[in-house]
Amino acid sequence: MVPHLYEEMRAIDTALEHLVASGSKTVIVDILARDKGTLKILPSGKYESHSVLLYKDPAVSDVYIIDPNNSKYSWHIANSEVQLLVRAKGFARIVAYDKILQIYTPAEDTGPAPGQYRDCIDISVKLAFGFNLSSKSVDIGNLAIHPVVVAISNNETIDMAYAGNVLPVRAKQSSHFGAVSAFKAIEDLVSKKMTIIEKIASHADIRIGFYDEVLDASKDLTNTSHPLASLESIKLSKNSALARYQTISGELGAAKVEHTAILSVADDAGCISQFEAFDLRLTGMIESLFDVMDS
Amino acid sequence: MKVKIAGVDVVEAAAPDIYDEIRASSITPNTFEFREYEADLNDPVYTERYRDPSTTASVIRFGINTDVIPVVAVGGAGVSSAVSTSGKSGSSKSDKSDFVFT
Repeated sequence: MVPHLYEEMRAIDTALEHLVASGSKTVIVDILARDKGTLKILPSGKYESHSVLLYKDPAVSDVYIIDPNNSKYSWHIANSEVQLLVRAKGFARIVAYDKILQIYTPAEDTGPAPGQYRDCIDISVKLAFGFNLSSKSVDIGNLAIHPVVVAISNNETIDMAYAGNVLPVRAKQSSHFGAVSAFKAIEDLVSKKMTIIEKIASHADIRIGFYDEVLDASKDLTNTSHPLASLESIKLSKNSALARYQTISGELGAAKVEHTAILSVADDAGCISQFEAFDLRLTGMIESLFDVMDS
Repeated sequence: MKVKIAGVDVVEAAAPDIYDEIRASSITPNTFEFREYEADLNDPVYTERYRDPSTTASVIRFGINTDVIPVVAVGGAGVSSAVSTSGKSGSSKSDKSDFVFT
């Protein structure tokens, strides 16, 4: 073993020791970043390091290695001499998630500013906060559906309510896990309501139904049972409904823009009140659409 | 050198070289509102403690000081001696870029 790998082993050994001595569920440790098995050296000549989370449930004898970015970045740890260190500390083995799982992917540069993505240390810390507070134990085989992972992730295949990784949306990884949970709850509601509105608004019966009914009535002009006044009444009623529908369609477009605008500055708990107000407006839009359908 | 601090402002006053190091690692107060930091920069393994201000929850990170990791010699000559890649570790502001995190 070359000395630099010894330093990596030493850091992991110290972290494992901390788990034993403190009884903590979580500890964060640096590993050396690799690219196809080779250590990554930056243009500056420094080795690149990567922070991962070690998780130990008191009821389970294994230690889990949880990668904040991509599970494959730390697979090699579970297939290395680290297993000997783990056993020496009295644990059964170290286990990684065995499929590719990308909890958080920075789409652009990382940093502390509101418009920047978070780095691996940051995400590891926030996962640790969440796991420490959560009453639900981590099952490594079902890591992708753990509520803490779902709330923090910026991967829309993990958090189905997430609008897609096009903005940092730092509120999802706030230091206050309570705020993370609240943000997740309101995002779930907003996402559900946006889906309902889009489904109703695009429903063929609404878009075309107004015209069809007026057209059918027009064909019956010769039918004496449909006096002209009655036909005019239907036409006016449907025109009115159509106008309201078109207004709501416009509002839906504006709501989508507003949703993106709120997400773009969602870097702290303050955005939750914005989302709550936004959610109320969506509720109003849904009620209006049902009124149109009933008219 | 060992320091234990609570809050970046204190670090800046007490240990400017360590403050530079924290800044270089892109961790700032608006990312973590409270931090205890323990470091022996002559030790390749150092520790940082992050705390959630809304709770008493905290988490410790054990890092690797990549500055003191020996450089592998080019040309297959094996591993060079354990020479720092940027001078004496932990002794000056020149160390501020020693930590690069992804």
